[in-house]
Amino acid sequence: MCGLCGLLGPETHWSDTSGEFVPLRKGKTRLSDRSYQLQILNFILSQNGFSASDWQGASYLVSNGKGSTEIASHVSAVWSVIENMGKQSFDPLNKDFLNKISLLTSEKQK
Amino acid sequence: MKQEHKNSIPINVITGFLGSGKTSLLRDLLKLKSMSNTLVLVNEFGEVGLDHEMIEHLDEDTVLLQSGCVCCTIREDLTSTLLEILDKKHTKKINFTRVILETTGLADPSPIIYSICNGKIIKNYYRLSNVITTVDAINGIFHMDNNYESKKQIAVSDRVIITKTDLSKKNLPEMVGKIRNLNPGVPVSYNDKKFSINKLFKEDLFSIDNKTNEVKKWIDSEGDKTEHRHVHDYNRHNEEIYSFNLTFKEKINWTTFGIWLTMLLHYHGENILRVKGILNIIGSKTPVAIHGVQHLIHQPMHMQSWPDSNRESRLVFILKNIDSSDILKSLEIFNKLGGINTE
Repeated sequence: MCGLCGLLGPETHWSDTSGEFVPLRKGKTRLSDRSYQLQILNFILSQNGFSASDWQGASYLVSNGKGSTEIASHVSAVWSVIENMGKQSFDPLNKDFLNKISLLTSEKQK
Repeated sequence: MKQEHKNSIPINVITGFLGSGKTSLLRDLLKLKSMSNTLVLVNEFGEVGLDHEMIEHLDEDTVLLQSGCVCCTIREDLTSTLLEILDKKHTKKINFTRVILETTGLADPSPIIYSICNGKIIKNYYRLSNVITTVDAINGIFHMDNNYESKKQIAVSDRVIITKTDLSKKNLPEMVGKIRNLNPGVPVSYNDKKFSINKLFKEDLFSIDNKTNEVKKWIDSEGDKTEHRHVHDYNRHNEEIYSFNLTFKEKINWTTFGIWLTMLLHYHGENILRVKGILNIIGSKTPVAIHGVQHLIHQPMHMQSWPDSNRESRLVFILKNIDSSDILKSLEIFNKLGGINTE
């Protein structure tokens, strides 16, 4: 626990690239992996006007672009937080959402 | 392997439909000398008496978590009992090295699994060793055809034992076929003289030593088949459950896969009864084994080697009400996200 702010250490989530099951590659740190994860996450979230930022290397701040921000303790919690904030869905089996992701991925790869 | 796993107390969950022989199996097990330090948790005292020194009773108190899905329910009776017995162990009032939990015949094992793996404090002192489902050789097929609970118990199990084979053997091939349709790769044993009850309970799924063999069972079961459908009448308690094998040639970007699976489980976890398999991850020479039940994914494990010469990612999904082709298409699109320039 941080002696100044009383924050507990980050909670390990199964999807963490720097979790104990993946050895850190040369030049990689837990925070650099986390930063990459946030870039991908923000690409997805931006499709519906949301964004996420790191909070103390332990959680995520999720914003809906309309002034509301909530905290999510790990990636799985991001989707619950979004559901509480509005009606936007990030259902990965939704055809319209998938088409949007697919189209933008092709543009970014050009 | 997590260091704390070596020191945590293994929990075996025995489930199975009403009258499928759970308690009889447990009674046989407790006769073994090697099981003398086992504590037994039961939901109800059944017709078959258990003569064992350490038995605790659970009163089903549940707390539904925010997601509203039954699988994400913390069984407060279970977590408080596990904490109580841990306290007794630490104060040397009782001594046990293993816990066996027998569910009721109509129980959904998912909240039990969730409570063990996600319960605060609990997850640091206990580990889920495996889920064992008993299926009765006489009525098992009838139960699978008519009871959603029976199908779900089989779908989420790690081991299946067919009981009462001394009374009837005529339906066994059909029964094994139905079990494998519901849960490809699950090892099926018969409770007869050749059966090693001791070995079964000590096959810890979360041991790195067992993982390669365990994963081989998952992926060997499917052969060249890509999809098994198990069709039954549609109603609330008798929904279609089927499995399909997803193979993926491209290497997997772990970051996008992790985000994708959290999204998939958030929106469809109730209908994804099980996901298990191996992934060929970019930057890793050996595969990563993943294994989950509904919204819960256990800590992925780096295997020491590939189980065979095939280097494709292979996942087994056990689903209801979801089209398997939708999952494959979605994963293909999301895996390409790893190649984008995010600047």
